[in-house]
Amino acid sequence: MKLTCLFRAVLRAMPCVALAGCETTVTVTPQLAAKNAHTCQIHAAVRYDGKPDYLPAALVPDPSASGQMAFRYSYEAQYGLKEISPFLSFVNPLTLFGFPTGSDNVVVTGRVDMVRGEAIVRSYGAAAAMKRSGTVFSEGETFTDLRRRGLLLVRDNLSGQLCKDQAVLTTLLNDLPTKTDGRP
Amino acid sequence: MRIQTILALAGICLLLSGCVTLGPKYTPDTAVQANRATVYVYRLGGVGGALSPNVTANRVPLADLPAHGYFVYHAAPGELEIAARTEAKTSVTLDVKAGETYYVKGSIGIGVFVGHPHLVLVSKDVGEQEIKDCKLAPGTIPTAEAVAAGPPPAPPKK
Repeated sequence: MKLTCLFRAVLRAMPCVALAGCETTVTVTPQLAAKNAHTCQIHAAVRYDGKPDYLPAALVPDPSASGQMAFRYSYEAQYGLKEISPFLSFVNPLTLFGFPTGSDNVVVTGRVDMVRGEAIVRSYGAAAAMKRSGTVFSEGETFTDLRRRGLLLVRDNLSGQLCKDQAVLTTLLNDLPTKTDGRP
Repeated sequence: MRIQTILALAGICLLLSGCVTLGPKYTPDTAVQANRATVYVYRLGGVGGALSPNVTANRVPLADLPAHGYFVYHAAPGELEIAARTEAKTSVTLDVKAGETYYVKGSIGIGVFVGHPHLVLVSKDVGEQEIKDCKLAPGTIPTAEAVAAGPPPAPPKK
């Protein structure tokens, strides 16, 4: 009787275990207090030649702005693949219950520099680290999906940081002296 | 009993061995074009030797990737999605810069009916070292212009 109950419990837990294997864990740094703080717009010259989707929304490229003070945006994605030996997965009975057969890691880093000429006046950075496990049933999100997700998270995080400092940045853009210009 | 064992082992060996005839051993590509990057896609041995998943660039078919095989694609700068599919999809996106060299490593993992392909961007050091054991995969690699034109139209439904 007890064995039957145990068997039923295992059967019920199987889909949960299988689905848990595909879960993606995401960590974004730095953590911002307010999630909706990135609703400002800073009009300035922007040096960025990538997709407009990935540019922090707070930065609005202004072609008429003086090129002396500008924002420079760059990002990088690093990939890591950890594969459990297929032979081990093959002989592991838990593989049939959704035990991970490997994991993908993607770390996306983004950086906004406020530059005067080539000299960096202020700098903002953000990173998104993502990890997901694949199972024999599903590989889950691809590196491409994770990279895109990471780039959007980094974009929003940087936007939040820029908006938090909007007053200082606007002052600097207008080339007015400020006492708070202490960040590296 | 012994014959059955030998036959079973022979069958496994046959399944694990690739059937594709590969070309010459790896030599660094010297036909570097202006405003293009060199993307090497390679695969070492391991399980799934009989599988040769088709690799695409921005959804345009490039070539099949057999075990111990490699091919070279001269990519235009910009985002480039290298992908492959069997019963599962794998893809990795590169931020291609002109004049740079990239190494994408392929492998096959365990699947339900067919092995799952995996593609990952590896560092230049790792790629340069590992690709030495590979041979050129057969096939004509499309140009960056052909890839930019997009995937071929789907056949009309009957």
